[in-house]
Amino acid sequence: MAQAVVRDIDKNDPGRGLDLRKLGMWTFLGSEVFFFGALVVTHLSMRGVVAPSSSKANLDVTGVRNLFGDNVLTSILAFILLTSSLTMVLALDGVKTNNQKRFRFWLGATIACGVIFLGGQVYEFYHIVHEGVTIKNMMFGSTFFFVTGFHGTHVAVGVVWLVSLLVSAIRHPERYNAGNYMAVELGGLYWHFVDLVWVLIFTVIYLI
Amino acid sequence: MAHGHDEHAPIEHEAHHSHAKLYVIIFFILLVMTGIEIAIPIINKAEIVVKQVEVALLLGLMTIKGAIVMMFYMHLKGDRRMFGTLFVFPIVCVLLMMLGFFALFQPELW
Repeated sequence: MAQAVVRDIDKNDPGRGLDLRKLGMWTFLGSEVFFFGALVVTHLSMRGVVAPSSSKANLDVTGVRNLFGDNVLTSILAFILLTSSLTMVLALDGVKTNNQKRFRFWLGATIACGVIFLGGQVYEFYHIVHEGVTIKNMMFGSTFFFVTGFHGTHVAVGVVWLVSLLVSAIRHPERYNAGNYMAVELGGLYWHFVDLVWVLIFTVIYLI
Repeated sequence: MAHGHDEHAPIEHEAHHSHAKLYVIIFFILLVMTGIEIAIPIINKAEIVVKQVEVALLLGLMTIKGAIVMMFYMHLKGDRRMFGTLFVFPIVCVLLMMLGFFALFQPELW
């Protein structure tokens, strides 16, 4: 019986039509959803726990929102990440249509957006820490920095990933083309996921 | 070149049809929705609607935005259903968990 099952599996197509790299990526992203979900709900349950009155911390959740006006900085960051999703999908469109110039241009634009986002987040963290909220002096700070910091780490990983794709595309022109774009598609899926997480963080942490 | 008419083309694979226009339209839809999201808490400072309605609106917009990104930018629309299941099931779990935590720890939002 077992032998019959083994015989039925085509050795050249073990995924039975499914691209295993893509399947692996979607499985990984699914597990990441649980990871970020756990972090966000922890923040939701702990964000009311601010520093004791003896602490020099001046901010609570409302204070963080109002630190740069009504979420002005985070709204700009949301716009940048949203734009990067467009540029990423245009880069994939470029490689799928065999337009190497367009592919490289939009991939470079996506990387630029990612770097600007990270710069904005560092700027925000600097000001929040300056107001006395740190990762270790109260639960609000701990959970806030964990959620936004892990998201920032994912953006940084995405930037490194896209830079490696761009370098590879420049060093080996025509490596990625209409018949071979899976590496770009996987990078794109990861990048869109990072944008998706920001959609969640922006609404739940900064707006609600 | 794209459709194999150019004999000197270095790429033999047939190019796909471009969807750039659709992606730009989707971007503007997401942009408008984000603008509405940002505006809601500012407008509602005057407490035009109760906080619960504001939260429901924000969560609704967030869910629609996420669904649009998944369907069009991550190409779940038209891709294998298995990929969608792998990704959407955890999202549904997380959204339910989030609502539960809102109810438990921030009852004033209910």
